[in-house]
Amino acid sequence: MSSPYALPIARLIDELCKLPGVGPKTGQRLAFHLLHRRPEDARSLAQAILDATEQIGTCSVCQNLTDTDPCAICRDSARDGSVICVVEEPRDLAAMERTGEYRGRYHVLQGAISPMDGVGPEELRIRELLSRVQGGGVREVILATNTDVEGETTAMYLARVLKPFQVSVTRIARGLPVGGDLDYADQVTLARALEGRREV
Amino acid sequence: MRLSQLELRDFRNYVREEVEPGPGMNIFSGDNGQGKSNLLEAAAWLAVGRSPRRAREADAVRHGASGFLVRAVGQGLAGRMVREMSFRSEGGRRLTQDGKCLRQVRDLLGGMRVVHFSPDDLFLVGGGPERRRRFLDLMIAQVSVGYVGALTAYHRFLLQRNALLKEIRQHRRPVSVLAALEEGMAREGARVTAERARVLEAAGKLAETAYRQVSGGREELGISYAPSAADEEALRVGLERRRGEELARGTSLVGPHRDEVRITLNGRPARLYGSQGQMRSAALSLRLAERRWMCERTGEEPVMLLDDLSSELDPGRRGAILRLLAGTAQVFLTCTDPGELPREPEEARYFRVEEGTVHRER
Repeated sequence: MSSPYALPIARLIDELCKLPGVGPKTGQRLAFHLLHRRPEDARSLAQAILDATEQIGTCSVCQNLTDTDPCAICRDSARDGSVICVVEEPRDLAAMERTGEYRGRYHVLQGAISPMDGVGPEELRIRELLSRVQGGGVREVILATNTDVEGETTAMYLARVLKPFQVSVTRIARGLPVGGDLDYADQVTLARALEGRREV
Repeated sequence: MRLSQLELRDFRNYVREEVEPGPGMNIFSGDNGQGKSNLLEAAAWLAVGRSPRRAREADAVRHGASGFLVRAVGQGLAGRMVREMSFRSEGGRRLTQDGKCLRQVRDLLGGMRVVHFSPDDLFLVGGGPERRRRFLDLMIAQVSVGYVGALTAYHRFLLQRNALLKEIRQHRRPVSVLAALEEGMAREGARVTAERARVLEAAGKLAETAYRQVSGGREELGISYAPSAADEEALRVGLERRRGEELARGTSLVGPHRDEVRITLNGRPARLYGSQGQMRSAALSLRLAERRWMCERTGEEPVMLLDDLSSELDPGRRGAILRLLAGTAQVFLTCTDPGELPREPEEARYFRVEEGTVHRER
């Protein structure tokens, strides 16, 4: 089907539509928004995209996205290198960092085990995690993968492969959101929180 | 739960219709193919998010229309509520309650409880085990969000495991991942089995009692749960033991998805030895038990949607059932001839259904 737009506009819409969550209508809207802005705004956006994609790589230690290698967290000598918190995605690391409570290091798996999507341990950064632990100096590995089926399976898998090493392996607790009323919590969360109770 | 209004637009053979049911018995009569069952289907679909006929939304759009809308106003323990389901051929389905979008199954179940009985329920007794599991699942899911959570997780584990079995068979994956997956799977699976067994223990007794009332006490109905693995440990061991066979077939052979609800008549499997009439009575008893059980668990009557009860049962049994329900639940009943029904539901509202229109009579 031929596009009713001039070729450069059609191409822009086409590219935008490849982004997640962007359909034909949103693509059009974004394209016209960009065309109505000043040329330097467009250039600055284009440059930002180029810079990010060209300068960002993965940290050779923790596998997080970074513009330096090793990344800022892995270089930070004030952080406790004997504790590694394992997360699925860079955004999980960011969430953990926002708490300001954690002062150890990280390991980003870049996904979770999901045979339906063809993702197994080999597709994740598990080998890198094992060689870090094998390298010594690690006391505890915290498994902070999601609580869904894939995250849970990944955690169980890691617990198994980490068993031969002399490290303690822990799983983050799941339960009630802080400040939430008990009678307002959904029953699944409540049931799980009850299972994970501990003595006070 | 009582519905005070049911509205259909471009749904099945309805262009635009609004029904105002009474709080008790509501009798919809009309010839075949006029749209009686469609009314009940709409109500059930709104309540559980799925068509009891297992139809897709696109199948329910009136011929020539581009989408449909069904809407119910109801009064429950939690107060007045309005539920709406709209579907557009492009744009998909949208379900709301009081204007709030219900995105997940778990948000939607329990807000409006129904029990739907139809001639198709014959397969509940005579059909394959998945029919009985689905019956049990939907009944529990309407009162327990926790159950929905466990069931959803279990099915996801199952899909992942079956995908993994295929990968392992093609030597693309080491077996070690399987053990990790089975750990969570056994936990969720055991939770599903335990809840089903517990519920069926209570509901089965209710069904056995109901059957005695329906059949006049001449035969004994027996209902029991037969899990493929009794608990988490058994499930874990079972998964491990049958791995070889499962690898060869590329599918999981142990777990709640293989559990069975056993139904017997005078001690013999109803599926094999029951007559049509007996199987129908047994199916109806299960539905009556579903109602009683929900009622006991939640303190609220579900809306009873009884499709074509008269073709199912002789007048004596029909009368027994109507007496059982009279004065308690709100009932939607369809039949071809209201004259076949006993006269006692005095407060009943009568509706005539003709070519996608509904007229109140008397």
